[in-house]
Amino acid sequence: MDKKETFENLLKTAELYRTQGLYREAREAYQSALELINTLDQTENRDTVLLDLEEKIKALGAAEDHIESAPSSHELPDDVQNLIKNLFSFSEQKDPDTKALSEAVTLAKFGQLERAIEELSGLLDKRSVGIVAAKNIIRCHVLLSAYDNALDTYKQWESEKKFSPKALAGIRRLLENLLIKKGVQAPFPKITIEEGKEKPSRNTAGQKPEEMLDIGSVLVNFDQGPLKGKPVEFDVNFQTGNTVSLLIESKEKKLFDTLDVGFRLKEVQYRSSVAIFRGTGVISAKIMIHEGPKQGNYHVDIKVQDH
Amino acid sequence: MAIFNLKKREIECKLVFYGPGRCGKTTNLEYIFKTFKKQVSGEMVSINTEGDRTLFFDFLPIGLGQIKGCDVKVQLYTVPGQVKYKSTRKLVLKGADGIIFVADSLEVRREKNMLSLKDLHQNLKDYGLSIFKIPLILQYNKRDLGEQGIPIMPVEQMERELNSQLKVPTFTASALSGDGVGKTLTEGLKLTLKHLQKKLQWAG
Repeated sequence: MDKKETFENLLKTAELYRTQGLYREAREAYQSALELINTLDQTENRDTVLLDLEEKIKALGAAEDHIESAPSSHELPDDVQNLIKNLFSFSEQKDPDTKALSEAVTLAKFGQLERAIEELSGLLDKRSVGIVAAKNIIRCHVLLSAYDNALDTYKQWESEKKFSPKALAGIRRLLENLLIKKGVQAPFPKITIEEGKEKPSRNTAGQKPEEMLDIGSVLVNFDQGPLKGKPVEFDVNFQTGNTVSLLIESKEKKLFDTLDVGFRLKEVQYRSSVAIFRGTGVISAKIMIHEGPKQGNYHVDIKVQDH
Repeated sequence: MAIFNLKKREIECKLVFYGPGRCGKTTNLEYIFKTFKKQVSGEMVSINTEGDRTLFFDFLPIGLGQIKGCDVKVQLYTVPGQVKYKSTRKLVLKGADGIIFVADSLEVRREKNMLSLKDLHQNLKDYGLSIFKIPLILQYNKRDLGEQGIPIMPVEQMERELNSQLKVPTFTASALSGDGVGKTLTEGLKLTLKHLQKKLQWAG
């Protein structure tokens, strides 16, 4: 194939890549054509062709940048948001409040933060999920970079005494930690609720943060037992501080039997809606469920360590 | 994570189209939506971003009618292929009962295919699943571009690079014209349902 033919092929290929949406590949093909044209002795309208190629390369570069800088999420229409809730909320919980919480968190995971805040706000007064909903509202505001809203929301809850002093202190610590991570200095009000009685400790340098993320699931890499070498993901049913409770189905009795109290899980990934962190864990409790819809299944508590 | 409703004798399963960005996953689904009207049981939902890239997923529900005494419903999904949507891709993959991996035949996309397959392997592993055990089909898409003089990889090379360890069924396709799309889907459904039949001990 002579140079002229190669040049024409490159143009054809570049154009096809462009129509395929493969902008980088198209730009590279045009670039090769541009380099080749400089080695050709005689080309008709050489200057015009050069200019045209340069413009195409520039336009493709701009198209690439446009795609790369496109927002990774935006608020979708209600019907699509409802579909997301239906399709991706994997909660098996029968309790409507827990189910609603799971759906709202699913929306947040898909970047539908404003709707998530709206739905989570409706759960604030529900006893079983109110605090978790509140923490997720704070996370959504921070993810939206609406730091003032996060702070105002917290202040409002504090002034309304929406939650217990202990719960408010937990929410405040979460907010402080999230803002620190974002490098935002926020004017926090002095803690006025039962000051002195329940003074939350600050996350200062050299100390482990006391705030534990709300963990949604746990991925355990077992180094012994029936699941040795197999990473297994468990959904977290409940969380109290740094202890997470998992549900293990009755058919996994062999696995349950190996998880004795004190057993150390050496490789664990703790997954929350905002972060994944690796650590270890120790089985702190195990029980068989004797009544209710989960009868016959098992509950295992893991104490999170090294986070 | 198929849902088997014993009372209604209804089974609902999830088939996910996976693959690198711009390989033709959405085009596969669009062709299915256009062509298999009888089976399609709802609207196709596509959530796109700039440059027609899939942002979250495409979704298409289809019904296969009665199989072994059960009403079989299938949810078809595509994942976003762009590397930056890793977490969404993983969310969409969750609970998949079968996977159709769409590989791009263009030579320039060789590495992207391999990276995407590796990403699938890792995401399945994170869910405690094995790429060697889950029902999986490979589709070598965009074969028609070879006829236009565009460098594409020979099927043998794609077999060697993508399927030498997996040893799963493969199909060539040109999703834009629909060539090979039906065959890929049919085999993907067959494999998935067979697997579920075994797993759920579902029989007529």
